[in-house]
Amino acid sequence: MKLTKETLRKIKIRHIFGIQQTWSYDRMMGSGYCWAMLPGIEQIYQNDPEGLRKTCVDNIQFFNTSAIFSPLITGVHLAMMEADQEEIGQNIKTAMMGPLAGVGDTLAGVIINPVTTLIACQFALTGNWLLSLGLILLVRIGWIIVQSKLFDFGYTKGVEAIESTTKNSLMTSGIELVTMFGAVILGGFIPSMLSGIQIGLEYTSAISLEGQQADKIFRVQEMFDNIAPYLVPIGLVAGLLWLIKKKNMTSTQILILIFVLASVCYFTKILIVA
Amino acid sequence: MMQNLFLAALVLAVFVYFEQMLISTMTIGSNPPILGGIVAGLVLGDIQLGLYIGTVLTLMSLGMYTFGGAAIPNYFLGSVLGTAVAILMMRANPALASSEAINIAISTVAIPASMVGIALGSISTILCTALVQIMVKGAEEGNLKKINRSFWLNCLLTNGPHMAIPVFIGILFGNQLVSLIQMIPSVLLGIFDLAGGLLPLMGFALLMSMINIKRYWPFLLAGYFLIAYTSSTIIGLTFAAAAICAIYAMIKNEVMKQNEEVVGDEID
Repeated sequence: MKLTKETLRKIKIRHIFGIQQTWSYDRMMGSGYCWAMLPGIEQIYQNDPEGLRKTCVDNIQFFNTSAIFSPLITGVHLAMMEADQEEIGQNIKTAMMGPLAGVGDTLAGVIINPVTTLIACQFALTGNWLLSLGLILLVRIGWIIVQSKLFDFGYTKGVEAIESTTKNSLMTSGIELVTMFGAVILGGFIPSMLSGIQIGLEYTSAISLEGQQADKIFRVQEMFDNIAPYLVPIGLVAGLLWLIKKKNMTSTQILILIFVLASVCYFTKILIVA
Repeated sequence: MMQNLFLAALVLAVFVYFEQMLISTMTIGSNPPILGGIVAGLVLGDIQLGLYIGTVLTLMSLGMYTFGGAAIPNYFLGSVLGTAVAILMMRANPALASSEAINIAISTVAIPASMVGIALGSISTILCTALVQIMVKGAEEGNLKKINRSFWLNCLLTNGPHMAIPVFIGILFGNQLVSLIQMIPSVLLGIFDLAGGLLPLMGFALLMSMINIKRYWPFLLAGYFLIAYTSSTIIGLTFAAAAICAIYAMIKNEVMKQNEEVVGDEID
């Protein structure tokens, strides 16, 4: 039995907006997944109350993956359900949860979100709140569109969709390119956004200028600037990075460290924020 | 622009309620701290303050993402409350420098509130887990109406309220909060001020810890060069980044094609 366009649309919207609204510890995205599927389940099993019941129970089971790719899985699952291959659909769901979670979370959390966020921050710091707001809304709408397309892709291609997304070359090289893009942007952004963090130490020494004694104030920061720009913030980030990777510091510990650092620097002026 | 705190508290609480639901989706709720700062700034009359606070909180939390559902501080809550308190601080003391107000509000209100957000979130998820059992019962009975109704009950109760209510109370008693803050000795306030400027270091470090620097360092270097030694803007950086990636892709394709030809020749 073929699902109507109307039902598909309802499921898609339910899924994109609703799947994580009832995220619980035991079933995680499972409850939302089931709710989103209801229109389809209702339509397919309208004459089969026992099948309906069983399908509901099957669909409310544990499910957790990256929110970006879950529409893809749903589309494929619906294609299977429509073709009366519900069992295979459940298996695909379970099998694809893990891999897509790793890929999706990394893509979103490490590359796409930070880069778009940084651009929004840049607009914000120059006081341009309209642009910042506009970008945020644009990104959100973009996500809705991406998820919508993934849903359609999963539904129309069915099992093929799974095969083509797990096929190594396209997926991994795509992620690689996005990471490179992100790295260039981050390499530039980080120094420029932290440019205010400088060394505040100064010392005066008497020099003779055109035969006259005068006191010149030397800023230690200038010494660093002569070597390369933004050395201080980059060095600090590198230091924190070492602490995170080699000493396994948690973010809360780093937060405390920063306050300790601020306390020391307040009195000694080692670091200032211009 | 609202002088009436009660009204402002109400409006922002409603905003937080709905935005939290978007945040729950983890996709279409992107960049909530900046949005929170902007809206709180709009409502209370100082968008710049909100922008800055939202930006610092965002930069702090760049590397934090709820991988698989792990709990992280709720910087959206922090940005709304922090902006409100900062604006109220400036109203109470017009001579205060805005950057000071920002940094102090971040240290004394925004960050603690964000941390408390973790606990609030856990409580809310526990409630959600309990309510989900109703949905499960509904599924076991094949009762679609039950599933639907309990979904809505759950959705409306466990996404918004645990953040909206603290925001409402926090802003309603905002002036009292400001008086409390003003009792803090100025040495501490100075330290908080400095700390606020250092916080973005943390976000960037966390973010960098997730990138394989051993592999991608040339690209980081390229970005640094463009920003430090040319007069490129961020938009210019984006173009350069796109070009570099395209070149890499082209070269990689060429090499792969040549490898295939070599293999083909060997087989023949």
